[in-house]
Amino acid sequence: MYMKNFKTVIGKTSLIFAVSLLLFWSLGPIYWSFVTSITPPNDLVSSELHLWPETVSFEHYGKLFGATSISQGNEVQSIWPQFSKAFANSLVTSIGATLLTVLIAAFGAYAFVRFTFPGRDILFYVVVATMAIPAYTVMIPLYRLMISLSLINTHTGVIFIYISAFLPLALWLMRSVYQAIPISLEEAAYLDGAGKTYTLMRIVLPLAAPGLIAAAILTFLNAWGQFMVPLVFSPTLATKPLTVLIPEFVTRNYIDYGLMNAAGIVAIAPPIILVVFLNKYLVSGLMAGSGK
Amino acid sequence: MAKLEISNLTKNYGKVEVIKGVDLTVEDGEFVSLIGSSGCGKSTLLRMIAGLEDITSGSISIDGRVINDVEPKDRDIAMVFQNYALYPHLTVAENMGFSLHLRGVPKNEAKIAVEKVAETLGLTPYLDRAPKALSGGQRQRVAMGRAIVRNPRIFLFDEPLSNLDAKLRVQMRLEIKALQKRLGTTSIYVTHDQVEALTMSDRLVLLNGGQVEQIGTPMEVYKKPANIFVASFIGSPAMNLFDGILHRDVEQTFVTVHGNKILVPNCPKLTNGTKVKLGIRPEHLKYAATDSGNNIINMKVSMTETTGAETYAYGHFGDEAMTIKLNGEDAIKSGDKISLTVKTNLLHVFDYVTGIRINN
Amino acid sequence: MNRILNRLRPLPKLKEAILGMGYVTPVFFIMGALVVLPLISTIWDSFYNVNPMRAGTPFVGFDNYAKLLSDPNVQKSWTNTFIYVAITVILETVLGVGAALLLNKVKFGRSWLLAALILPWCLPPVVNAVVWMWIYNPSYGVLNGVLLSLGLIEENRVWFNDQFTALFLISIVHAWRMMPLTAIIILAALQAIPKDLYEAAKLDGAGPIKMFRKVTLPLISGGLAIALSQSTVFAFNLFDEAWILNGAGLDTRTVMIQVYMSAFQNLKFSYGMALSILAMLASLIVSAVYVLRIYRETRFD
Repeated sequence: MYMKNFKTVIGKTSLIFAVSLLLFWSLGPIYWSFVTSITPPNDLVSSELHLWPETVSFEHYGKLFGATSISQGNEVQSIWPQFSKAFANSLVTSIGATLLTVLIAAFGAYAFVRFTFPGRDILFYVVVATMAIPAYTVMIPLYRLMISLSLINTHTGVIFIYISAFLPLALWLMRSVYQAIPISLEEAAYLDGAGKTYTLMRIVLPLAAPGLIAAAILTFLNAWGQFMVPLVFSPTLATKPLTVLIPEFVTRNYIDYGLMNAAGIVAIAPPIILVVFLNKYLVSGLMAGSGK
Repeated sequence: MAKLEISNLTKNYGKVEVIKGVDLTVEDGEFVSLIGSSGCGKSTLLRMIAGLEDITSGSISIDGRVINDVEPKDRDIAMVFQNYALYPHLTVAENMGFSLHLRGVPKNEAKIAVEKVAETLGLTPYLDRAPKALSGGQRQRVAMGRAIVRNPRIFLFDEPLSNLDAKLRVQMRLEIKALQKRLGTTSIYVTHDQVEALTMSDRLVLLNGGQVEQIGTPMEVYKKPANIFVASFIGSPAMNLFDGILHRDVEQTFVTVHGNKILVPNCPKLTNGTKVKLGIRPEHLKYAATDSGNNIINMKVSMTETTGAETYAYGHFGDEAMTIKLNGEDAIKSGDKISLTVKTNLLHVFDYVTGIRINN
Repeated sequence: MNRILNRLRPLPKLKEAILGMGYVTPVFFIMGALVVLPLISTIWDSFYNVNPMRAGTPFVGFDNYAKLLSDPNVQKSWTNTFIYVAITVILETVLGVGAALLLNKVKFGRSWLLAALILPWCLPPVVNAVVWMWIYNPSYGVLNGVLLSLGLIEENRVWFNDQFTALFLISIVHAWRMMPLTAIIILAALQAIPKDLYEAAKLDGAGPIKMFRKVTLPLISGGLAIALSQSTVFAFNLFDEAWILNGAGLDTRTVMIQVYMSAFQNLKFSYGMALSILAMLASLIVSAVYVLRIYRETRFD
């Protein structure tokens, strides 16, 4: 009896230890970035390590959000105009791509699951297979295409490229969501006098809502984090997103790590909000998306 | 109100033929059951009537109009599904009123119609609830209510009681039958449960391997099964079947089974000495006063079961297995050797090869 | 065409087919125009010499591919990529399976732990790389700071001076981001294992290690194959972390960075295209190998 208690204590302790290790691994770097972002610039270059800054300072955020800013004692032009524009660009392209991807996937996947039409299976497998194609394989022809359509450096162009990149995953996910809905509900609606599109809108989509949310989150996170695509297709601030702007802080003669970490914290705020509030949908979406 | 006619209907899935030329007429207001074991095509046939499965050949018509190419939504047919298929995100009232809403019935009218049906089904207190918050029996009623509110031309039932427990099933059986009689709506009911089919229907359609084996009233299929399939499907426990030889002389027709002489009803088409199957229902065998003579079956009991009211005894006549159904009070135990007798007019004679019923 | 119409002969079926094709029209055009045709164009152009700075696009056959084989920078980027793949796949799989087993055990606050686990995967890879760049900073980075105060090193290190260290540190950043995906896939597989299998194994007298080898491992092998092939494909496409942390540096250059440089910096379009096709084939072949192997070894049912 005593042995058994001893064993459970050991088990509990090692479990807590393992959980702490996992939390440290996952959250440690983010925590460190946050601490850096609120440490006064001069303390950043001290050799002492502090798990919490001795004095909390919002100077780095001031540089981001302020009308003017001080860098190394000199007043320099504020980066707020650039930063806010890039943030807006990120939002516009990510939200635009998310809404359109989910809309197209909601209808497309339904057709793949419930309707028979010539070429259905071939189209589906081709679309899913494109998930294995690295972005750079199609980048050059895409670049020429976008130039010929005058869509280079436009939100529309970037949004459509994002859709083409993230649609396969959304379709795959929505297909498994629809397959899990009992078909008799749709049949009951047909017999009640509903047409196919009405049935999809009124009966199926409300039931597929968790799946739609999951597809939206995955698409948004992917679009928000994109770097390679805007690096090529968003050369100027007209469409440049945060992911391309932030690394540019590096290329100046001096790397302002406090500023970069502050900008990073702002850039990861939307994903963190999504994860905190919609974690359930995200996890179920990832699980469904990875199945088979 | 509608008369349903099905003629020479077939259905193939690829190369597999699941419905092989079914003909059936359901009169206006009639309650007809489709019954058979799983895979016999009964559900497929029902879904073809609903328009949920397409037709390979043949035709389905309602009141003389062929509906083969009419979409389900335009057929004016209501169906009660096995899993009820209630819309989980709508309330009971919304579920029941969905079809009225689609048809553009004014809100007030629809509300009144739903409330009226809810009243008759005892659903009034639950109208604002979600289906999830209801018991199995209540969900079943909502599914019924959804069908009734529409006042459709035909009701289809796809094993609607199979998800309920035994007691509730008996109760719902009676309710559905009473409701159908009151509404007078043409109804087609799919089940694998012969008790449901026998008790509820005006007529039964026995399906086997995608073909109709027999169509008839419950009494007809019980008393005059058209073939061995129907004979052994209807009735519980199943009919005993013995191999025998038919003999006929001037005054009587009889079958010899394991040396015993059993007088059977007239079999006009058969000649002397033909091999036949003799069918005797377990409930028609009674204790005999003697152990020899005409119409005697000698049974060696190997096992007994009792439900209290009834006792089943399993055993052999010669080398053939048989079952009898006795009163619960009858003392019988394994190892007993008993003699039984059966009345001639309760016997069934089937062709040995084709299985078709021979006697009148 | 007639045959198709025949197959859809009943009127409702024909209507359904038309509606279905209507629903997938956007999918067809977007994927066709932005992925399938560009892919074909890439394959086609890789046999020509397309260079925006030069006139004409002469057919060169396998010249681009032949040049790739002898280009030292390309060879270096392949070697680097294979090292990245090896390190990250091992890290992600070991840590991911560990995390999944842990999460499967934890009952209290599991959804919060899941949120914490998954967070790195949700963040922009570029921001991750920036955060880690600061951690790896030679003068003020926390990595040097911690190692110094633990006495493991005597003076600050410039981590990216040593090639293998640089590859390893970049791999850690990538694995930090991708491990949650492996963990989630394995967790889904773990949760699909019926509990009574463990009860049966326990009654048969199996200990925890035997239980893992005989029950858990075979039943998560499908998920493992998916996780491995995901890890591999993503590692082959590694770009963001290496680009942010060490730019075009040859020591840490991946194939994808080489493609970007050839095509968009040196404007040798065809050359870059040929390389990107090889990279695609390589990642497909490697992940197919896992899937087939695991499939063959666990075809018990």
